[in-house]
Amino acid sequence: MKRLSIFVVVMIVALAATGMAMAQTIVVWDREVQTEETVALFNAKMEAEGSSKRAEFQLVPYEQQTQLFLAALAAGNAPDVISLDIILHPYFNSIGAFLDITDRIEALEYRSALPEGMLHLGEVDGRYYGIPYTVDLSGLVWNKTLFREAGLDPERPPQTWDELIEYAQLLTKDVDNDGETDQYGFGIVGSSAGWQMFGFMPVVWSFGGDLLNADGTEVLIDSPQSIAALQMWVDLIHKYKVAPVNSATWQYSDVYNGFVTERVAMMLSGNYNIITFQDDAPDLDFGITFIPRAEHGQHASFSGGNLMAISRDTKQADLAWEFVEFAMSEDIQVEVWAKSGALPVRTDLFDNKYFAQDSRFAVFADILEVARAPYSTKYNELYAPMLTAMQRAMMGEISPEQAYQDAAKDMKRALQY
Amino acid sequence: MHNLQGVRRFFSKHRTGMMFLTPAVALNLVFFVYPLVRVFQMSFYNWSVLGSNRFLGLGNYERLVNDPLFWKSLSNTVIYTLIVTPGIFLLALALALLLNHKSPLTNVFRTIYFVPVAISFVVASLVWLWIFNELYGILNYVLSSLGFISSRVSWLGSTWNARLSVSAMVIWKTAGFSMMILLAGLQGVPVECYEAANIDGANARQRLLYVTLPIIRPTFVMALMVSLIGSFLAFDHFHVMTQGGPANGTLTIVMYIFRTGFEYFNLGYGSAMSIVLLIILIVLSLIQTRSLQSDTVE
Amino acid sequence: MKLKKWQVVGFYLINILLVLAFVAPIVWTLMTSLKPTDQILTYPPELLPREITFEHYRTLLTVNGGEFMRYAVNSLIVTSGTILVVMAVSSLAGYAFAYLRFPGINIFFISILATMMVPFQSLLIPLYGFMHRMGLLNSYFGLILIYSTFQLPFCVFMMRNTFSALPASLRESALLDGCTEAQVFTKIYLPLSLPGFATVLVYSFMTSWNELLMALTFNSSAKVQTIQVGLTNYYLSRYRTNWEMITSGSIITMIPVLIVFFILQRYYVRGLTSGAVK
Repeated sequence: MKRLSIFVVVMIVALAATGMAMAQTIVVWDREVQTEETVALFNAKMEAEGSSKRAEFQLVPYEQQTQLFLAALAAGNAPDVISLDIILHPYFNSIGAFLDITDRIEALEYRSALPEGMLHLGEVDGRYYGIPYTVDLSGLVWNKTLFREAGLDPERPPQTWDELIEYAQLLTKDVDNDGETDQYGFGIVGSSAGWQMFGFMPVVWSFGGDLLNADGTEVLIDSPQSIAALQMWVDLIHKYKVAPVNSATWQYSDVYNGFVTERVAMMLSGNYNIITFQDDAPDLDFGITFIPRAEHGQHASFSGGNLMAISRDTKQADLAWEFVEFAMSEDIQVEVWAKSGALPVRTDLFDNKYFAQDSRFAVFADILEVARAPYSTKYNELYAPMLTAMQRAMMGEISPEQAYQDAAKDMKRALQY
Repeated sequence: MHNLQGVRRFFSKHRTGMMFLTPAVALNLVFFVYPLVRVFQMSFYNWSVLGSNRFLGLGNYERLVNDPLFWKSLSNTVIYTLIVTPGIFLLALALALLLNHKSPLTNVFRTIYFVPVAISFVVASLVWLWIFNELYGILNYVLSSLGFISSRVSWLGSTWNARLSVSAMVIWKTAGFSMMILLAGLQGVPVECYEAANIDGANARQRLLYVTLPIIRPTFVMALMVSLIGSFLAFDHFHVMTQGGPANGTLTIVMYIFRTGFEYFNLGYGSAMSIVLLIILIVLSLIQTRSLQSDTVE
Repeated sequence: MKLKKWQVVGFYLINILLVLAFVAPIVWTLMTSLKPTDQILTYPPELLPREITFEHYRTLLTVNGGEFMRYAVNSLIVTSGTILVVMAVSSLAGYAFAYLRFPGINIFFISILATMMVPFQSLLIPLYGFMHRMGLLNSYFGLILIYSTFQLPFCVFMMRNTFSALPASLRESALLDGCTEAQVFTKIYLPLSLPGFATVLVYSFMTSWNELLMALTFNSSAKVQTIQVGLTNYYLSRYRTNWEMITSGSIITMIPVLIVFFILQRYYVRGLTSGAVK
């Protein structure tokens, strides 16, 4: 009798152990709804193959992404896979949050189609800890109807800042003759660090300036070229008066809404707005192109987006990578992302049937070539003094030169901690 | 009484009080005091989420004292609190007094004034951000259509404008809540007190000043303290409507703590600021209680 | 007190003006939720929808196989659980602070009040670690406990004041008559505290129902997500403010809170205590 019960117990334990070993689950975090769809498709595929491997998705809103990830890391409860804002990767790599996936990346057949600039943000000492997953690029959006009304060629957006100033002056009007301007040639998002960086850094780069040097150790914002870029920006408001006088307080939604209601003729935006503009104002006739360059400079753009990374302490590294590969596959990048108006991150997939339907996407293949993002483990902390200084210059309180010199001082102080 | 006998006598004498208090104290200790102690610990380190923490002693506190942005955000918060609190209370008191009568529509009116309280702060902020926009916002549109203003007002365009506009939004949103608290207090005023006052020939103003206000004083003090502390912790509306701008003119202390911890990853420094904020608020509350509190009214 | 006629007219007039001012933004929100998406961002602003459409509400309620119902149920469970805990705990504690004081009791009062004085974001990381270790993440019970803890300051304060405002003589005479403390509490003071209770109930319901950050932090798994967390998915993408979702979502979530408030109005009845002294 005793031998029988021991046998039963052993069988139960063995079955349970096998059961546990067979049902593997990974946790995937992202701020984008498209990844939720991807997880559902992954689980469907696993089920179809008779496997018990599953992924569990948790949507982490953009606003709270950093807080929750920090809390999870501190508690040892980090997700197996996380899709995280690209500019935060240098910091998280500096504390060793992610797994080295260099060899896995090099083994991919589409390795050369991954944007190098993005890979660099996830790189430490020649090893990669994140793979480009989604990409956002900044460009200039213009309202073709307003161009026509102003006598400008709607198919010829400004290429340089001088041209933009010229066009914007024709586009800034007092439409209802009440003595106040109610249509502006250009909209500036003055109030948000993130939007300023996304839109304004390419301007600085095009002027030959920069915020930091290549590895983020030296402050370059007080160089004459950077100051020249800010001077032009401030002139748009106060000298040429083509942007609202209080631009320093305009939120992104303010400028966006202004463009959609056709009170703002041009603004800096990103690829994602191609779809959202169509939702909010289907009759809006707009185009999107490179951010204008300085007279003697090159076009530039900011490559935002996410890198996907695997947690260093994951217990399911292989399953996690299996999911990552799935998310990077052509099916997902085209059918989930390109279909919803986002750019596929693999340059070999730009030529897809959804983009063929709307010619406006095509320019982004070219914009991707000139796009970059700054590498810094103190990204947010360094940009804050820059934004404050810019706002004071934009409000006319101090000169652009003074502004960036003050900012440089604050930034150097932050770097020393 | 440091001997065991004395302690045991103390516990048995106050046993009932302690038992009534236990659930609240238990929750408080486990879910508040314990994490707070950890935060206190963190404030002495250059604290990193993974990996090693560098012990700084009082380093974070020294840094705080010398940080101009800390003081600026603190003064922004104080200014905002000074604007908003009287606004909320004058309106709430007026509404509570107005609606302290029984009339067929009183319940409806009260509910309507409570409606703004029922939405989330984030949604309210988004809606008002839209209303306040100088170019296409409704407020300017309505005011200029009615002829009240001749040129567009930039409601959020400068530091003081932003402070006042956001304060107006907060007053709109929270007056109903304070109204509710004051109403509950007003209901506790026995009818006999009013009747006695009438017999003595008091008019409405005298009734208000000498009967109503003294009796609802504890309620008033409580509502005031809750509102004050809440204003000190202001975050959501400024975050959505001004992002602390322009040039940090509306940066509140909690926004700065949030940024320091979750955008600059200086968690130890953020913890130190939280501790200092807590101490400031405790001191403020003690001062307020001492100067305004009266004993329960018989 | 009989009101003169002009006072009655004045009462209604003032109220109507105030109501208009208070309610205008809400009316705007409601109208916007009924507009087709492409009519929302227009200038000049249009108040009335060109055609009333319920599509946004339909979307919210039916998306992903009706997951909204699951969120609503989760919110109901957490909210009712919290209300029960809070009302019980805060009335017991409030009574103790009012009538069962002992030397050193103020330390506890300060400690409970201090809960209001620390922003949740500051406590988030240690608290999350603790909840994880205790296995309380992604559970109704865990969130109920957290909500209760952070609602205690206001509720305890409110109940204490409510009890203090009642005559202490009631207790003294009842004790002399041989009642236990528990009987004094439940049979005498509780029934007389209905306005206070109503306030606590409304506060607790509203706070639990509308709370986002704690629910997102501790209960982010889809099975236990509350309404606010579930709706956040639709409110804000980084690229666009989903006005049609925000407005319809707010109206839906706002209605239960208003219903509760309206129903509890009857407890704000004057004279509840006036007979008691006699």
